[in-house]
Amino acid sequence: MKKCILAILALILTGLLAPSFSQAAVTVTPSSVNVVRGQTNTVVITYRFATIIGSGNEMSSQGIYFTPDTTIGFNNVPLTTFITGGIGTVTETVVIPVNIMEKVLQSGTAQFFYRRQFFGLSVETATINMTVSGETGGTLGIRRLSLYFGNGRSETTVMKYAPDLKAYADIRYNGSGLLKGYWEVDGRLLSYVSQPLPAGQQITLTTPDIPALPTFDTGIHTLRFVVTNPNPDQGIPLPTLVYFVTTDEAAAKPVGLKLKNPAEAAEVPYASQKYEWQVIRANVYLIQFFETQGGKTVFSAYTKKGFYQLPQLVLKKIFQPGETYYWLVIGFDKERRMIGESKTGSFRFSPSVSDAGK
Amino acid sequence: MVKKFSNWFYFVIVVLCFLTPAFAWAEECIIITSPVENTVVIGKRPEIKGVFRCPLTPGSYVVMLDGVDITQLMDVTAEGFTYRPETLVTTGSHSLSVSYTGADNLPHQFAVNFSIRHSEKFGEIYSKNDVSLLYEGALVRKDSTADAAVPVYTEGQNVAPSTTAAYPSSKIEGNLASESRVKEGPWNVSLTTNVRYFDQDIPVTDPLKKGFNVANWLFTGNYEKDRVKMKLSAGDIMINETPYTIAGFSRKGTMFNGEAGPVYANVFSARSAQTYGVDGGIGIGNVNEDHIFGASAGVKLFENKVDVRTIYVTGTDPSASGLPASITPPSTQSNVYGNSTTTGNKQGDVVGFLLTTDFLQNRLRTEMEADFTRYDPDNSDEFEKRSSSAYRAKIGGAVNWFTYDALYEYIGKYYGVIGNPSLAKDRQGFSLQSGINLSDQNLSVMASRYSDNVESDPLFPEIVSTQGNVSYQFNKIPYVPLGFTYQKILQESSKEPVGGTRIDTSTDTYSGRIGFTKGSFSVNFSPSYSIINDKTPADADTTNIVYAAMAAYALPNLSIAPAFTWSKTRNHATNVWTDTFVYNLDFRSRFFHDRISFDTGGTYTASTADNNSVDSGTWNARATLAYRLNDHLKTFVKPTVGLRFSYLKTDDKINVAMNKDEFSLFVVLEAAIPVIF
Repeated sequence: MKKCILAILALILTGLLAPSFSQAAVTVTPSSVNVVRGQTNTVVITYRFATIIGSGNEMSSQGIYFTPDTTIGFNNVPLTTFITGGIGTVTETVVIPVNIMEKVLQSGTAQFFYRRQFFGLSVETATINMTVSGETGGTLGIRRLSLYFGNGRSETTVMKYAPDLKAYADIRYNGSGLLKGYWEVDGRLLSYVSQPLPAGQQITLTTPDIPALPTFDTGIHTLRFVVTNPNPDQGIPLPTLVYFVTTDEAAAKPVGLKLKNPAEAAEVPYASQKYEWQVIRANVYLIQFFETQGGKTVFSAYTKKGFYQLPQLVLKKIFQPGETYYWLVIGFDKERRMIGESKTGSFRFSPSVSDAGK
Repeated sequence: MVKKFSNWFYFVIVVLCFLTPAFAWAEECIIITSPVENTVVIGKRPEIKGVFRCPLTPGSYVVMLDGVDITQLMDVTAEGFTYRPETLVTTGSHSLSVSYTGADNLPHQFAVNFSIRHSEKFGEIYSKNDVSLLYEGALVRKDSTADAAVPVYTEGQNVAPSTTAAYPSSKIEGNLASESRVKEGPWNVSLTTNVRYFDQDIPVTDPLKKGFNVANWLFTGNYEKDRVKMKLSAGDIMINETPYTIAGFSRKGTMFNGEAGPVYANVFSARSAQTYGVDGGIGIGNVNEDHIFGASAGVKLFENKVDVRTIYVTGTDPSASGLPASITPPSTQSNVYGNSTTTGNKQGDVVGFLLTTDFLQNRLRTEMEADFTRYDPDNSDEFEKRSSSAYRAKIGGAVNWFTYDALYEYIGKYYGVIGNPSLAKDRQGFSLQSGINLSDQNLSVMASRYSDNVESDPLFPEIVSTQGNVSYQFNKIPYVPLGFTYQKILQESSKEPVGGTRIDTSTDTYSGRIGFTKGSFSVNFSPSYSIINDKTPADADTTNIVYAAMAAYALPNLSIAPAFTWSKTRNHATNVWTDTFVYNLDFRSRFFHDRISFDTGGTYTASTADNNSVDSGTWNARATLAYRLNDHLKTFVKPTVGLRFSYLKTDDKINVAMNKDEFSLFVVLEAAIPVIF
């Protein structure tokens, strides 16, 4: 009788202690996570086995979502790892559907669990605590990453040496924390980003002016924004942009042209004047005259030289003595693309008309 | 006798009447022989021809086309001049005026008016096409990582391990950029597209495809007469309606815009997923599967000062629903084109109303929006669409140097719109902004306060986010622009449920910028310091310091742009500092009359942690040396031969399996072929 009681006690103790011993044989990372309501959530879970006797497969047929009161749902993807020397590791990416969280909330709690029971060499149980949170709370997580160029699309075509190619990343996130990542072109890190994100839920990042997106290399290029914090394994796939650089070259970035003569705000005789400027690699220049700064052009002319002699015929017809006029010069290349522009200068014709007839 | 005299008189008068214009014409020293007065010229670059009838010296005559002096662009001989515009001349009426000082030393002037049509049938018809051809073949390839391990990301890494460059031995690429337009009367039709060819001796990664592909296309047809405007667009369209319905949505689709006086209407249909190439068609399809459909209508009143608009959008977005519930083991992430989002077959519809006013010429603008949705984040489950609403009221304007904006917004707990997936939800609050913009100083101040859990759900805490921002820019010294920004963010939770985690963080960010500009040289330095102070027992504080410096020196044939970023992050919980250094250099040069160019772009990245968990450095550079042959060949084809270099070296002291050293040299043949007809 005594032996019988001892045997029953031993059985009860074994039954009570067995799960705790087997739980000690598997550890799970992370042990708890926040998941956001109203969206599917992706969680990467790693199971590490230790102190298991023997070599062979440890298997789990399914994962179970449950609250303390009820079972919520199942993940029917099996999981297998090979144990050798008592240890083994297996990782799974769990996509938690929206309805799991809805069922949890309907049951009157925001806490639930995900559990896998392994069997084979040993019966082991791993459980992860999960908490449903709103979009503002919780740790930083990327919900959506949308990349686009200035045309709003994920693809663009630019000319070789195009100077102003920009890309944008709309990052929709939940929680708050430090965002780390970088722009990457054809596998080359272009610029690094490290900034705290408030609970504003969306930011837009732009590629920098320097270094600019490379356009000296013709052909197709791919561009990504690579997120390194929050942990990219816990997030969504990184999207890719595509841009094509044509073999036809863009105009050189417009440079500043210096106006040389007449000097700024100078008073000049009311006569055929020579207007001079700094010569650049332009095929043709356009000189424009205005009555008011930024106003309508009163006269303009094309020239291939670095100066323009205002004809007497035009002077008398269009310009008045004693009046102030503004002028600027634009340089164009062979394809008539602007490659240089001056600031607007001014001059005043003297009131005297004595020289006008010369 | 009298009758005879009278007959002679009439005869002389009649002859004089006929001859007068001829004499007047003959009297001019310059005669324009082409174009002829009041004629319609068929052509795109009509030749202008003139003949000298008497000796003229340079400078004594001026020829102007539409008021612009073209005298110095003309080819002048002793007999006359010719001029052919180098670019397309717009269709319609034109005027060629000639002024000269005649032999009588008096100014003379006359004008020839003419109009241009591109063809007999169409007032305007043209097709501009640019063909790019590119061949790349490997000359040298040095790869130390043929058997390298698959890159593995480890916790705390600031830069993901670089993949082994997958350069093909040979590659052919081509692109036809085409823009065609036909216009006649109130109608015009245009088509823009890029047709691409791509082939290489190794597989391509998504979204690229081998062979021919239409990378993008847009067809538009317009009708515009008096107060009626109509526009039909198909292809790569962008839909913009209101901020809470659909905005900045760029997809394959079809859109109609109509306007008759103050009334307007828009109808659109689009593929809900971003697609590459011809995939997606014209974007018309089943809204219960993978398309969206919408319509809006409105009226502009009081000379466009008031705009009332209503909009309806419905659709389904399955773009991220294909992922299985679980993946074992986690696979390498495949390339996603353009957008990446959480999974779920999303479906919903929205009705919105927008009222905008601007009575005081931008001094006082108002916007009021109310939207009502039914949205299901995953229609494959047993839960149905839920109703929700959003409201927005905004007032703002600019009075001389002062600008202001005030915004209140409420977005419901279940608010969602297909076609606007980045919208926040379950939040309400306000933001205030104002700015002072003087010629040499700018000051802007912003404050906002938002809270979530708008329906006070007891299962969730209420989190209040308060943010303030002050930014000042001083430009009084034009060559030394400087400024600073201070930002404070407070985030605090209340009403936490049992077992919930409290949130109480404060983030302070200080950043400055100073530059120096002289001529073609500029340098800028912008440091930034921020600390995230977690006031809860978890005490997960983080310090983030960034130093960024960049310079640029640009001449017409040479430019150099170095940049440097040093980013330091401290995790207070572990007391570990992580440093990331990024050095960039961009260099462009041209010499030998622009025939030779050498361009390079390179980066060196170093990443370290003071607990020795990370210590790696990566060099990555590309360079091109090219020689342009078009000066030798004198054809419309612009060929170039060149060499392209590629270099990648990783030195990882912690994870030596990631080390690599790769060098590639390619010969590159390329041609640009412009075709205009």
